[in-house]
Amino acid sequence: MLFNSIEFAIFLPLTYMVFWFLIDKKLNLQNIFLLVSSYFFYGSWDFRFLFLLIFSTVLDYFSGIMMEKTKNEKARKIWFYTSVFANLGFLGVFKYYNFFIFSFSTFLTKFGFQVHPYTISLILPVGISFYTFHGLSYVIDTYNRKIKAERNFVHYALFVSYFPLLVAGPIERATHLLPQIKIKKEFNYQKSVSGLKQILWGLFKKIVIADNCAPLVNDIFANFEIQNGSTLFLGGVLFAFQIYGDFSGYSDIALGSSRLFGMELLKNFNYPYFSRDIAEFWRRWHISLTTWFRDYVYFPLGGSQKGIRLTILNTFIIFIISGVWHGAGYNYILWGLLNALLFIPLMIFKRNRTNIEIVAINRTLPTLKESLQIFLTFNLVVITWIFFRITDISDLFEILKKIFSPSFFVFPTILSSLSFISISVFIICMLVIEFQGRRENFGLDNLIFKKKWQRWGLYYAIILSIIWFGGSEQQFIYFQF
Amino acid sequence: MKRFIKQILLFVLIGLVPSFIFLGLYCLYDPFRVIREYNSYSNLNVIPNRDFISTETFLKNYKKENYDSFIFGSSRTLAFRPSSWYNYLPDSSKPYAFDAFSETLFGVHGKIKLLDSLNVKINNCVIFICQDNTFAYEGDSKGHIFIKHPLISKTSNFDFQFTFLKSYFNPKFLLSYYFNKSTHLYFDFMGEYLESREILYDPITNETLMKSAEDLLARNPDMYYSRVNKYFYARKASSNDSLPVINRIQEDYLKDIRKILKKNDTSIKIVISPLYNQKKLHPQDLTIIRKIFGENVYDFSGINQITKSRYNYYESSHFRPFIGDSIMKAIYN
Repeated sequence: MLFNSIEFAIFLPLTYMVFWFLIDKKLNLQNIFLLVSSYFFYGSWDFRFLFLLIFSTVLDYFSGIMMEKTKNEKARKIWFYTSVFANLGFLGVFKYYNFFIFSFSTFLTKFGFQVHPYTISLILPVGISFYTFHGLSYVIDTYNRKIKAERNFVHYALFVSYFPLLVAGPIERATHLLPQIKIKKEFNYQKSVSGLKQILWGLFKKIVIADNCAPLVNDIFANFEIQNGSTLFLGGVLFAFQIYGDFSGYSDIALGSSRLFGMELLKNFNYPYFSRDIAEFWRRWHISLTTWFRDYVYFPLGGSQKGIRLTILNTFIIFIISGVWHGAGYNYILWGLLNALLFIPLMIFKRNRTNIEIVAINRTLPTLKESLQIFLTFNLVVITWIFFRITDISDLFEILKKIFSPSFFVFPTILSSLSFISISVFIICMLVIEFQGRRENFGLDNLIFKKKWQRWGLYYAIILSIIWFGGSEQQFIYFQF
Repeated sequence: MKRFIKQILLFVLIGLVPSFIFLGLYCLYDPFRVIREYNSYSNLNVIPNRDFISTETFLKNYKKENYDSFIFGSSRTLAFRPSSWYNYLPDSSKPYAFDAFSETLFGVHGKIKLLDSLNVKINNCVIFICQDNTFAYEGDSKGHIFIKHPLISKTSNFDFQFTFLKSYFNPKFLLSYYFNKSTHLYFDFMGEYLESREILYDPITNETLMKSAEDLLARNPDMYYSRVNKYFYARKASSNDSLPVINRIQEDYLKDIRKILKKNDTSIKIVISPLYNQKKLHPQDLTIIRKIFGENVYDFSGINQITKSRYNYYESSHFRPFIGDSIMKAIYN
């Protein structure tokens, strides 16, 4: 059941109405209902994977309790590692087994050993990378005694399986979501309105922006041999908006849906394309994953507290892990490496925390210098996205060769195509709305239009553009991760 | 809570008012001619779905007319007229043009299966294969003009009707249709949806007549070709080769068609259309078709006397009826 499907358009209002009209009585009833709805939502993809989700939930739940109960340090460690290895084991088998076995056999072949790798045909369970990280954060925090183990199974299961965040995040923390689960949800008019607006904005970004960019991007990169450098770079620009529309659109729908049930999820995107340097970009892109890696990988490795060499090494590690998290492919590793290379100079020269606030926080427009910084950062990000988009490494080098060649200055034929012109208009509209709302939670939050008819007019225009100009691609890119 | 529900209902209601008005007008005017039954589909001002018209006309008449000879293919089969074909068939034959816009093999297969399920005897049949369209999709075609009749595609009536409703609510369609309806003016941008030519469809044989084009051609051929000159693009001798287009699923469709026609003991003719682009059907595809249908395959694709002259075409897509007549003569003699 995709967020942009008819099924979800039926599921969400139904769940909402039952939640507020029928069982708005007791906390336990509210949570049981949300848990059952979440399992139904997840099971609608493939009910077999529901067992994996429930197994992972039960294991982490009991591990947490046992780690807290036992006085024996060794036993605590055993529970901790059992839970961590089981979670990572599932992820490893389903997501990385074939990649590693192939890479290992290729490596051995280079030394003259003939190996016939045994690969397994597995479907990647939807959302495994996300719910595994929910569980891991809980287990690590419990082991480090940052939080108390949750004794109520329904509360814990809902924390892992809450449907708005189950399949593609945001990657929640027990410290943030569990306290909200444990209090009775009261209806709030402002929250419900804001939730609906955020869902609408998410749908626009996904269906109008991402789904209209997708065919152009697919066409450009599928036929990269006949494209000139400028067209390939434009393909990268379109992919930058495709992936942003896709994933931030998804996150907006998730956050908006959750707000309808009275729960706030972690903000996942904070206008990343208005960043003035790569460090700022990474503070604004997929925030829940970046902060997860920071707290559970970077800090335990020593972070930036153990000298510049170790800081650089830790930064490389965290970016490479981030790349691998996205998928089992060398392109993702290279993507991570490239981002590390762009990030590290800022860190060495202590410029990585220069731009903390959103651009032009107290002004209407950015300065010329800020505009140039945004432009340069965006172009660097576009180059990194090309690494992300291309799965075949040899194709990637061919594409880069073309982009960094005189053919970059040839007029791109795609500029005159009607589909490019129309998607450009929508992208500009999105950027204008997001820029005016950059101090808020999402683009449509607290619009400059104060009159109701103006706001409603904009909502109707967005709905009509979704209906009339919605693209055909349906799947969310981040579902594969 | 009450306030929230009230606001939502108000928002939905206000939003739905124009939609309901347009929906009402859709039911009233039935612009695509897919809601109600019609005695004639000639001179429509909205480009229709030919698959729907052909199937509906057939279903309406087949019991009375006892059709036994069928022409399958895209709109290019308009050149292959049932009235001319009749001269090459046994006297008692009842020919019917069962064509569709951009007809695919999926569509031809579906139509032959429909005839078989209705126990319609197929004594004669001509199947037109176009290198660019026939093998374009393995399943149903996309878009309201090309989507197959639900009886052909075996999809739901709801999905079929919904496709038209979606096209109707396209702003470009609404603008073109209602502007033209109220002013009777026609602009180029309307060409995606509206028909500016006079086209007649025979209500019994489903034969197509390009009335306005034929009238002008008879009156002043030079004027006709000067008007359509922009559609005749330059062809390059180097780009005549084509890639193989028939896949395994389509090969199975061809075999199934052959099986049904063999059961009917049908006289089969397979014609590879003479396309203006002069692309030759790939030899591999021709071999597959010949392997299944034997020697009754007639290839007019590529560079030849028909495709050389633009005067054999209405525009760069459709060849003219006198070419259809000469193809008939060639394949029956």
